[in-house]
Amino acid sequence: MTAASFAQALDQITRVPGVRGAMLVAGDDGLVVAEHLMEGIRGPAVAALAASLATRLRRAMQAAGTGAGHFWQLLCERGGLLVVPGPRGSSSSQSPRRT
Amino acid sequence: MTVRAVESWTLQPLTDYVHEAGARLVLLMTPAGQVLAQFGFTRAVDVMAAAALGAAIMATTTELARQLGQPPFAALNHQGQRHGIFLSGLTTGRGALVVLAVYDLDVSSLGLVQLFFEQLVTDLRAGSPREGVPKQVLAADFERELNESLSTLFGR
Repeated sequence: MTAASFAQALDQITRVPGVRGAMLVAGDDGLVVAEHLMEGIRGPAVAALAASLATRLRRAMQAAGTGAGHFWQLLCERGGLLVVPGPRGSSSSQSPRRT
Repeated sequence: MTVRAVESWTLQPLTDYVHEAGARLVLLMTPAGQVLAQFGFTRAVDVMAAAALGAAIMATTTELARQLGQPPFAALNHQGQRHGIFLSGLTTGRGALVVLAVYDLDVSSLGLVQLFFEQLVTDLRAGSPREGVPKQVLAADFERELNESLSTLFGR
């Protein structure tokens, strides 16, 4: 995929009503590869922390013998975070606003 | 293992950084390689070697940037199979400082190390004393001061 296709994919996700942003994150490093975020969301912080969490959850699931996770959804007071692991350790995170 | 500091104002910010970023080894030093605080090192010779090498890398990259007509590089990261090395400069009221962090890829990541480094810079700036008149270093005092610093850094 190219940078333009990443941007197009993220743009399509953020067009969904209530979604405040989407990012493609390098799973191993926790660095932002591409982002499409509303103002006020700290992209690098979300990327680093979500990737760390995803890595730990993946290890926990491996230890439990449940196989690979398909996605993680964290629900909070004013929204939520979806983390979708991609191939080769990449992950994308989205932060929908609770409606 | 705890953070050891020659200058006490560095202790809390560095302790927070070590815990939040999950760093395995951390050095806070001046660009000349004078160590202000350390975490994770068990031998003085390792601290001295890491400080000298880290300061040399910073000096090299700063000069490269100068040759290119650029401001100094923000940070440098080397990543191996199991560990990563993060090296970055910062400015505080105490003057320019350098942080060298070694992190375990199983425990931390470049993203976390960078993220909490920003907080470390903020905390160090808030806690740093204003730079005073530089003290004249006498050859006779140098070895004694170096030994005192190493004793503090290793709790002896």
